[in-house]
Amino acid sequence: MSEVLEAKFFIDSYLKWLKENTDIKKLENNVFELTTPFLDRHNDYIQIYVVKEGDKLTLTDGGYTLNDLAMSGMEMNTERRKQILKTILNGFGISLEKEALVVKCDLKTFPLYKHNLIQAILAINDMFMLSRQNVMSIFLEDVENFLKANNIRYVPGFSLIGKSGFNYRFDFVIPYSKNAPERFIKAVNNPTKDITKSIIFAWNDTKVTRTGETKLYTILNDEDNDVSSDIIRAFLEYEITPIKWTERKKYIDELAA
Amino acid sequence: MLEKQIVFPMVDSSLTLNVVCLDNISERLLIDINRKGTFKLTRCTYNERYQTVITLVRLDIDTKPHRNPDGTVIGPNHIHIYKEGYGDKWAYPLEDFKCFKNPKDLIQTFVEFCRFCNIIEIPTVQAVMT
Repeated sequence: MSEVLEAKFFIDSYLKWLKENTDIKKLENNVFELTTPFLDRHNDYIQIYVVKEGDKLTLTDGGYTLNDLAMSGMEMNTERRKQILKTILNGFGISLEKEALVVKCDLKTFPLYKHNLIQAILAINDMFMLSRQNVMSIFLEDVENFLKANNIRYVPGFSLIGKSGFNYRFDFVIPYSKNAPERFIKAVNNPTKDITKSIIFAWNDTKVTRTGETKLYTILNDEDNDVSSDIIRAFLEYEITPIKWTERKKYIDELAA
Repeated sequence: MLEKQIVFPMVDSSLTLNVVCLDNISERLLIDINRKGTFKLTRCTYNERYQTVITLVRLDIDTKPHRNPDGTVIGPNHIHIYKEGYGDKWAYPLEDFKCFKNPKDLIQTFVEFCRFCNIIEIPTVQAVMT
């Protein structure tokens, strides 16, 4: 097969597959359900709805994409998430009506906007990776990469037994040096009051068991969450150094010492 | 389940219920009943998730068709069951599960779903069906 024929074969066979695997069902007078061959996170086929009024078409996911994310623990409830969602939608020319992704077009521009809507659905599906549990492990990796990138010597995942006999796990420990004491680091993805209290308790219970001077730093994810001044004040009150993730560079020298 | 009585969600709404593990109360399980969706009134998804993000069992009634990683295609009534390495990407036809007697009866199916998920105290369901 010549190169030109080969290229044509790839395009044609893909188009044939697309056509064979796309299903259209009429739901009401002017509403069509279009099942595409693309799969979502659960391996379910992505469906869109086409509402036809004369030559004007409205394409929508019927709210499925955002509802499904919410049902997987990924609510659009932080400024950062809303901003990511808005950027995805803007990029594909899609608007948000209540919870539904919507785009208006005509018969001529239908293929382009159908393609855009599907791409937006797929991109928003990927936002699942930003859900809190997933972000926790990503944030921990981010903190570790930050330590590595700045030549901060550390031991990962260090457990200590407190005065009470309880066991506490700290994410990183930086050993004692001539210039600085032993330092523990706790990465906090979601700095709530409850988590703050439990860290303060854990630290007070363990630091008395350490010989010599020892310090605790909490690295707080303030990109996905607002960190209230009460939380910062509470840490400082108990001589724990809070580091906002967005201000981490200020602490490089201190941690590398 | 923490709730003793629930009102079954109406069309275009959803409900999330808290489940307590008897052998470890710190484990968090949630059960969702989701009837959201503008165009399909018969559509309903029951979902059991662990630590808020991991779907263990997901029962789809009249939702979207599904394709398994091996290429097999399954119709709009199917049940996803967590599989190591795949998450909830594998699903099975609902007709293979005799414990679900009538998928059109959404309330009965909810009770059957709870039993399938080994939930001991299933709340009584008040129906305001539309």
